[in-house]
Amino acid sequence: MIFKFANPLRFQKFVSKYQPTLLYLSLIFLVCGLFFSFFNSPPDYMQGETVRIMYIHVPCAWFSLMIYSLIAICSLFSIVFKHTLADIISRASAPIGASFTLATLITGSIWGKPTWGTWWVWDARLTSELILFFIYLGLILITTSYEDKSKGDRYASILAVVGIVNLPIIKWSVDWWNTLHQPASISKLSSPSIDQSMLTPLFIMTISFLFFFVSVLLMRIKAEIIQRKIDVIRFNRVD
Amino acid sequence: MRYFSNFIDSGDHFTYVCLSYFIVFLILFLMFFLSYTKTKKLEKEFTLLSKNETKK
Repeated sequence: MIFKFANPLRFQKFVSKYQPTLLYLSLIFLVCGLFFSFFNSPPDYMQGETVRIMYIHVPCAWFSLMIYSLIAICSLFSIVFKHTLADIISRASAPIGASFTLATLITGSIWGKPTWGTWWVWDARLTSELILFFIYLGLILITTSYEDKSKGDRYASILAVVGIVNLPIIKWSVDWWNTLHQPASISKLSSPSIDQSMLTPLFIMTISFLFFFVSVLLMRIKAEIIQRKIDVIRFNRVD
Repeated sequence: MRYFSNFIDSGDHFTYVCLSYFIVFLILFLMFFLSYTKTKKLEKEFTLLSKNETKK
């Protein structure tokens, strides 16, 4: 299955066919998610109405971690097997991951003001998430600053694999240290500590973001493949 | 509807929530828009280049 779509041409056809559908699905789930977030979910007994920020903050945070995991796996795959598609997926994912991380930091900061009384604290969870954002920026910078794409991809892969140590720090920082950030509410699906009326919008928004991510990722992969084809034509011309 | 009307009347909290949603959707829209324009531009460039190549 993986090797079937590892063929760039086949992959490009697949993207053209399914990318718009995924985007429409994302929009449908977004509308449903917004309905449940604003019309069908009560305010929290402690946070009040600001709990609604959680419905976008938490999915953004999950995706910032998930996308980085994807990049790290692809980077490892690229280092071991030197498969171009792994490099392409890493390259295409980094800006999307950076966007989700930035959204997480901003929404977290806005949520922090009414809840903690401050926009920012150098808390373990917040700081490690900020470091993740800088790693994403580093990946984008490395991949775009080399004229020889394979060199840029190789260095970015190394950074991505090294940077994976930050993921467990982000995930368990709230358990390892005494942080201002609350511990995970949905660590075990069997007994989440938040009410069903709040879980529903959270999961619908997560599904919407998932479709959005896959849709934009496919589009960016397609752009990257075309860019490489253009580079080959130009290179042959110079030769 | 009761939850929504309470939310609209929540003063400062309403501003914080709306600002969060606006910023997230702006970031995601920009991400989508930039990716879309980049893809379209490259597609055009590639078609042009391949046409020139076949002429040669």
